[in-house]
Amino acid sequence: MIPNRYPGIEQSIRKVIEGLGYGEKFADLPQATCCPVPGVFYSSDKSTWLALAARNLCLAQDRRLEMVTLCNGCFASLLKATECLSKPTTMGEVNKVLREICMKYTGVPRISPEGRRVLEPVKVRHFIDVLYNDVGVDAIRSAVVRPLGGVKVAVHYGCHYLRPTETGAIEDPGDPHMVDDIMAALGAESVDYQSKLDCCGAGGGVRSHVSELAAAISKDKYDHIESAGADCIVTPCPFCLLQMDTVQERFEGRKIPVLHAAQIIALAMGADRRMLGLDFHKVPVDGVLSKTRGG
Amino acid sequence: MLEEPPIVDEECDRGFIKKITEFGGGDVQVCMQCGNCTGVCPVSMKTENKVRNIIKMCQMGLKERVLSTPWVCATCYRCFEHCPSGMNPAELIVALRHIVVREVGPPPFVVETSHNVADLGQSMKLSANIMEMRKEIGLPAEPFDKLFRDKAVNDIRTIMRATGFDKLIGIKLGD
Repeated sequence: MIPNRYPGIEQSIRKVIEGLGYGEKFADLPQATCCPVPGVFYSSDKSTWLALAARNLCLAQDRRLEMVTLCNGCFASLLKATECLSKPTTMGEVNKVLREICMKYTGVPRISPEGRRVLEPVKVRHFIDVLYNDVGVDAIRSAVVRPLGGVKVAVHYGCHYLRPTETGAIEDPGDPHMVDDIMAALGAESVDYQSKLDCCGAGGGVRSHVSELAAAISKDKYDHIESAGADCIVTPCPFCLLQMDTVQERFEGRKIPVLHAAQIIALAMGADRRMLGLDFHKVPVDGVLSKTRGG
Repeated sequence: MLEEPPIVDEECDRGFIKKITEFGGGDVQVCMQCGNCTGVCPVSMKTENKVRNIIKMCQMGLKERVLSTPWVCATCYRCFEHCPSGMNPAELIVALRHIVVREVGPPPFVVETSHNVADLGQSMKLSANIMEMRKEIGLPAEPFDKLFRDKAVNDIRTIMRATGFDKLIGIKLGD
């Protein structure tokens, strides 16, 4: 979805990784495809969903890489796939399908503390987890050249960031803080609002199938964000971004720009804003840009 | 639900619960109808489709009624987080969708997105506008090298044929 709909997010994360000096630690997976989208594949045929996800995981496995995603949906889909594939019988069934394309999912070999060779699931990670836990908030703060002082941000985490699988949460789904902390490192103020942890309404095929219902769910969120006085909404998910950005044409009142977390980080790190694809969002992002010093 | 016709015995499909389990929906009988799921469900808040009612109908085997409830779960998994019986109602909905796809047919967006993935490897089409935008912001117009994309699409179609997905959804796969 990102390359075909929001390429600005793709360019933003490239600038962020480069700017943080992590360029050599990341690689593209040019053969990777749609995760596949859970609202369609996981909902209609789990065996196809799992085989397509396993194919993507094999690409990372064969190069001994962790898989990092910029999307809550991809994160949940791929992480859930690794959990399913941990069952030997399921792995066997999937590998029967993968044999037809000359691939095999085994997991990644590692040496255990006891010196034995063990196979571990391919590690699937959300980029917020990587930025927060591997790069660190201090390193991000040091890389900021255009501090976002005075910008009030309403953070929307999104359901599959908070609850990717039954056991795979990155942080406490009832009290998440990583995106807020990163926003603070950029100099922005994260404002609290009533429905902060609620759904945007788009997931599970609701947006595609019954867009009015998705909009009704988004409306509550929008109202709370509006009354909290936020200048913009920041989310770590392109699908939540799509929903919260495009849904606003249905609502009366102030339009609130929506940015992907990678975009606002790149902005604060001084990336040329024309490269971040912000001009292509439905709600103009100009207001936020003019608040950024030197922007 | 009050306005719906009274339940008659013939409506109750005894095999329905088993079928739900087969598709990974879990054991609906553990639900004690507390309604926590409904209280936190964004869809239940906005529509007549209350999770608790859907689970009750499943417990009673009211298959036709359940299958005619719309495809409207956002899979936010809040219900699971709040279920004291350890059920995962969102996974129940996923299982019900599996049954709908097989017995009623897939909704149009599922067919369309499946087509996109089978043809392009991506869920969304790449429009001329986006290609232009990609160039403007310093990225290659096509996100994926053609050789890699062709190979990926070929893999996807082979997988879909192997699992019978093309027939299930009713899409034609190119060569």
